[in-house]
Amino acid sequence: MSRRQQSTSPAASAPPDAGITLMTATVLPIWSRQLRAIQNTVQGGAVDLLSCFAGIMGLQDLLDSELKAMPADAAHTLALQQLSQELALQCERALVGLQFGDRATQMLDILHDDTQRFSQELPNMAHADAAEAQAWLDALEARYTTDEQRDPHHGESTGPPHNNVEFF
Amino acid sequence: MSKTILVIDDSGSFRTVVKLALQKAGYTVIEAVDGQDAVGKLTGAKINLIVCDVNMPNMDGLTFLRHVKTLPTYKFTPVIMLTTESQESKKAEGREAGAKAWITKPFQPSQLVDAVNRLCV
Repeated sequence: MSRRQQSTSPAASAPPDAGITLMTATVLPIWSRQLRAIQNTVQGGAVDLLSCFAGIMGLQDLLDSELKAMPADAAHTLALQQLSQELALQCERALVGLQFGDRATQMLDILHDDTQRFSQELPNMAHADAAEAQAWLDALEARYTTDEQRDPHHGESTGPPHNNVEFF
Repeated sequence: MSKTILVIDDSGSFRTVVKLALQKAGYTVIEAVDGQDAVGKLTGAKINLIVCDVNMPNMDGLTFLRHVKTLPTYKFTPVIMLTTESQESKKAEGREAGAKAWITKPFQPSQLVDAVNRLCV
C-alpha cells in the first residue's frame, strides 16, 4: 500500500484519539460488568454463610436452654457449658469474618463507579495535563471510605483493619 | 419488654450480622436500608437506640443524624455510628452532629452489644 493510499484510509483520516475512544468504549464496559459479577458472587456467598450462621446460633440457643434444665454440677453439664462457650466464641469470630465480604463489595462498588466515570470522560482527555491527572487522582481518593483503599492508592501496603469503639 | 434498636445500613448482609448480634442479646431490631427509609421507620415507633452506617445512598448517615437531632421525640435517642469510615474528620463530624459512639467495621459483635448496653438505658 502506498503512503498516499494509507493517508486516505478511514482509520488514517479519523481524529488521533479515535482509537483510544473506540477501545475504551469497547473494553471498559466489559470490565465494569466483570466487577459487578464479582460483587454478586461475593454477596451471594455472604448471604449463604449468614443464613448458615443464623442456624448455628439458633442451635447454640437451644443448647443453652437445654443446659438450664440439667444438673448444674454434673460433669457432662460442665463439659457442655464449655462447648457452648467455645461455640459462642467461634460464632463471634465468624460474624467478624463475614463483614470482610461486605467490605470487599463496597470497595468494588466504588471501583466500578470510578471505572464508569473514567470511561465516560476519557474522550475529553486527549489533551489532559499533569494537573488534570492529579485532579483525577484526588477525586478518586476523596471517594474512598477505608484505609485499605487509601493506602494502595499511594503505593503503600496496608495491614488488616483494626476494629475500635470510640465513645463521645 | 425488650428495647428496640433501629439498624440503618444499605448492605443487607451487614444488617443481618448486626441483627443476629443484637437479637441474641435480647433486643428487638427494626431495619432500614438508608437514611431516607429510616426517617419513615421513626414515625409511630418507639426506638430506644439507633445504629447507623455513614456512607449510604439517598440519605447518608450524618445527614440522617442531623435530622434526628431536630425531632422532639428522638433528639435524645442515642445514635451509634457503625461504619468502615475511620477518618478523624468524619468522626469529628459525627461527634458534632450528636453521635454517642463511633464503631469502625469490621466490629466484634460483643463490642457492639457492650456499647448498646452502655448507651441504651
